[in-house]
Amino acid sequence: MIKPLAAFVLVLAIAATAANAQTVPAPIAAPTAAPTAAPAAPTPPSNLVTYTGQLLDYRNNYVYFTSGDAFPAIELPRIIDYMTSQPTSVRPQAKMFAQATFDPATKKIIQLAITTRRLVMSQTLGPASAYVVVGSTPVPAPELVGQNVTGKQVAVVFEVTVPPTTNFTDSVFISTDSSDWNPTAIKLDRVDAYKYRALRYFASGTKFAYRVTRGTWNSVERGEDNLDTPPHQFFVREVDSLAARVTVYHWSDERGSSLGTGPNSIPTPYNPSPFGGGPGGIAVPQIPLRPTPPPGH
Amino acid sequence: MRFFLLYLVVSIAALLTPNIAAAADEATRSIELRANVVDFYSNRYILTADGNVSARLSDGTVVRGDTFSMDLKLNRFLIAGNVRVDGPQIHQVGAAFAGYPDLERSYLVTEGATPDRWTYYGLNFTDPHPGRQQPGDAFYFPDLTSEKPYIIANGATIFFKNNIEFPVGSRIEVLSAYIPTPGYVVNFSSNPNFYQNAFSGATFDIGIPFHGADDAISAAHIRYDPYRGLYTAFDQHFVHNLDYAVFSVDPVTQNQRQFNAILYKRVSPDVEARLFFQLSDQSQGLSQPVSASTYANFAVNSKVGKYAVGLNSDQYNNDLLAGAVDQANIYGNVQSSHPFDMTLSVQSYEDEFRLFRYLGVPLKFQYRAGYGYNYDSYGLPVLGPDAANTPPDFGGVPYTTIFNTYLGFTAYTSSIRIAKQTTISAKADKLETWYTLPHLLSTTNVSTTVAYTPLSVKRPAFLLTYGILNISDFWGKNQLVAYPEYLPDTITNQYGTFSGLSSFDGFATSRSVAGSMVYTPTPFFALNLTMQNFNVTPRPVPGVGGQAPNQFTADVRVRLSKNILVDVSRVYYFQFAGEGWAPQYGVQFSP
Repeated sequence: MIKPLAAFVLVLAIAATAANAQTVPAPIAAPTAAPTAAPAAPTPPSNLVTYTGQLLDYRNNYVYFTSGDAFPAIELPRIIDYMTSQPTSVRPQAKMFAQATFDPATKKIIQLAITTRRLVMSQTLGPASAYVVVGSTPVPAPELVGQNVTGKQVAVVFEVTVPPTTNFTDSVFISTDSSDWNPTAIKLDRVDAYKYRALRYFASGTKFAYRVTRGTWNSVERGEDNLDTPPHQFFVREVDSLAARVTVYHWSDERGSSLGTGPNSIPTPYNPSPFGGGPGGIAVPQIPLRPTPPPGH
Repeated sequence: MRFFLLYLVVSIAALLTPNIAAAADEATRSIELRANVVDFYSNRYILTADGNVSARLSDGTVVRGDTFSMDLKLNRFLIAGNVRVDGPQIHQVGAAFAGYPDLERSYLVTEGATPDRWTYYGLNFTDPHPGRQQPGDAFYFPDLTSEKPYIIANGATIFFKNNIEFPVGSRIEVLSAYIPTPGYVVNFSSNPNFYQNAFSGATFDIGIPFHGADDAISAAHIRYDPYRGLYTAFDQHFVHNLDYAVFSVDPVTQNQRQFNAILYKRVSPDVEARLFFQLSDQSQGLSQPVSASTYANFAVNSKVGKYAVGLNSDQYNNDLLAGAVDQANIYGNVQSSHPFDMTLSVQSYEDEFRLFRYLGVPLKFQYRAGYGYNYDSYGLPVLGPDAANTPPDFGGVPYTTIFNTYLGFTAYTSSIRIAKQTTISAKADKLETWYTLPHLLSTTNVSTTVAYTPLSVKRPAFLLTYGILNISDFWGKNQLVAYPEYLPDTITNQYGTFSGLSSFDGFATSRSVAGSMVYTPTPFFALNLTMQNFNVTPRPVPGVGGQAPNQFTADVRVRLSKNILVDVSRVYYFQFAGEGWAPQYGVQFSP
C-alpha cells in the first residue's frame, strides 16, 4: 500500500521530472517554411506579383519581412484578413503572416492579406526581389560560413572505454547539458570487459556537451593525469550515423591504494579493515570489534 | 584546523580572482528583459516576449520593440517591430535587431526613407557597416505552434550560455497548472560544475533554483529520506570555467544539520586543488549546539611527466565543544581526538609491453606507489579510558603514528577476438602495503572476461567473467594477536549451525563467477540480467558476516514518453540469512 506521503512525493517527483525534462535542442539549421496546412489564399489578379512571409514590421509605407527585406507600399494599401479576404482594421505587426501583392507598374505593395495563422512562406523572393529596397550595396561577410543541416534524425552511438578498475557490475552513464547534467541521463550497456555502449538519436545540427559518470558527480570520469576534464563537445553532422567515443582513464572516486582513508580504514588489530565486506571487497566473518587484549595487557 | 581554515581562505580567494579579469570583459554577457508577457519553452530552450519589450544589454544599451525571441542554446536573439536602439553610442530606429553574441555581431534592419541592413561589430555602435551580408535566418521567429510555455513571467535576466533568472511571481507549469514561484532560475549552461552536489544522499530531491547570476545559482531544495523524512535544504553554487565552489546547509528545517563546502580550483592546466569541508552539528535554530564535529578533505592532483601525482589529506575533529572527553562514542571514535591522515601517491600513465603486441596479445600496464601518514586514528594509542579494551600499544611498543608505503601494479589485455563477435580479456592487479605497525597487506585481484557482442543491438550481448580476489594481512609471529581465534568455532543461530569460524586468521579468498545478458533492441527498452556466484574462504556465515553466495539482479528500463524513462531494478539473494528478494524495488524516473 502506498502511503499518502509517498504518493504525494511520487507525484511531485513525476511532475518535476516531466516539467524539467528537456528534449534535444533545436538544430542550427535555418528555419524553413512550416508545412502546416495553409488556408486558402486570396487569389490576386494574374498579372500581379505576390510574396508570402512573416512580418517584422509595417511602418512609414514599408513592409518588412523576416527575410530582412523591406518592400515599399503605396500610401494606403488594402489591408485584408487572409482568411476572409475582407478588409480588416487590425494593424499589421511583427510575427503576423502576410501575403503581399505588388503592382508591377509602381513596384509597390497594393494589398496586404494578414493572419496570425502560420502560412506556407515563399521559399524565395522570386519576382518580388525586384521590389526590395535597400540603401547600400551588398558586402560579403567571410565570418558567415555555415553548414547545411536539415534536422534529420541521426543515430549516435556512445562508446565508452572504462579503466580496468571498473567493477563488473558497475553502471556507466552519459550526462549531457541537454538533460540538465543529470548524472544518470543515458545509461550505457556493458558490451565487453572494457566497453559500454548506447544508441540514441539526435537531430542533425544538434550541439551538446557530455561527460561520463558512474551515476553521481562523485564518480565522474577523469583524465589520464587524474585531473578533472572539461565536458566533451559533440556536433551532430548531416550524416546517417555517428560515434561518440570516449576513453575513461580514472574515476574521481578511485583510490590508488585500493583502500579508503580515514580513522576506520587503516588496518589495525582493532579495525575490521580490510575485511569489511564492502562493495567489491571480501566479506568474511568479522573479528570482534573489541578483541581480547594481547598478552601482557 | 588552522591549516584547513587557511586552505578555505586561499581557495575562496583563488576562486574569486578570475572574476576580476572577467569584469573587464566588454562583450555582451547578459540581457535584462522586461515585457508584458515573457514565455519560456523548456523543450526548445526558447524564450519569447511580447508587448512593450525592453532588453537592456550588459553594456547599458537598451533595445525596445514589440516582440522578442531568443534561442538560448544557439545564443542568438531577435527584437522586432517598432525597434528603437538607445545607448551611449547609438540612437536608431529599425524594423528588427538581431544579436549574435558568439559572432560578436548585431544586425539591424533600419527604418526611414530608405531601409538598409546594418551590421555592428561587438559593442561598437559607431560604425554600422551598411550592406554587409547577414545570416539568412537572422530575423526568423521560431515556430512554437505546438509548444506550451513552461514558465510565464513579465521579465527575465538572461546570462548568455548560463542561465535565465525569472523574477518573483513568475509562474511555472506543474501538472498543467501554472503555480507562482518566489523566482526561478533555469540553468542551461554547458558547464556541469553548476551541478556539483554538496548534499548527502536522499530518496528524492526537488531543486528550486530561485536566484542566479552569470556565475552563480542559489537553490532551495525539498528532500526526503527515510531517516529524516521530508525536509528542506539550501545550496549556493559559484562557477568560473573549471573552478567552482558549492556551499550547502542540509537540512535547514531540522536540528541536526550539515554545513558543507566544496571548493575546486584548477591552479594550472597541470595542477588542481579541491577542498571538502563539513561541519555537523545539532542545535535548536542558531542557538549553541549540543554537539558539533568537522571533517575536511584536501587534495591536490598534478601531472608530472607521464605520472599522475596526488596528495590527499583528511582531518577529523570529533568534538568541537568545550569539555570533550577521551571516551569512545557509539561509533567507536574518541570524542576529543582529531585523526589526521595524508597520502602522497604516484600513478603511471597507461603503457604497453610492445612485445606482446607483436604476438597479437596487446598487454598494457600501469603501476602506482604511495606513502601515507596516519595520526590519532581509531586503534592508535590515544584511546584513553577505553584502554582497558583497546590497549595503547601493540606488542609493548606504542605507536603514536602509523606510516604506510604501498606499491601496486596492474596489467591487462585488450579485448582479443577469439571467434566471430566474441572476445576475451584478462586483467591482474597486485597491491602491497607495508605499515610501520609492522604488518604487510597484500591484495591480488585477477579476472578474465569473455564477451559475445553482436554487431546488431537488436540481439542480446552476453558476458561471462571469472575472478579471484585474495587479501592477505601478514603479521608474522603476531598473526594470532592481530587476528585472535574466533570462539566458539561452531555457532547455532536462527539460520542453522555453522562451524569453522575460528579458521579466519587474516587471509581470505573470493572466487566469483558472473554472467550477464544485455538486451537493448531499441533506445526505448533495455533488459539487463546478471547472475553472480561468490565462493569465499572462509565461507560466509549467515547472521555473523559475509555476503550471499548467489545473487541475481534484474534491471529493466522502459521509456514511457519523450520525457520519462522508468528504470526498475531488483536483486534476489537466494535465501542467505533469511534474505530473498531485496525488500524494495529500485525505481527511478528520469528524462
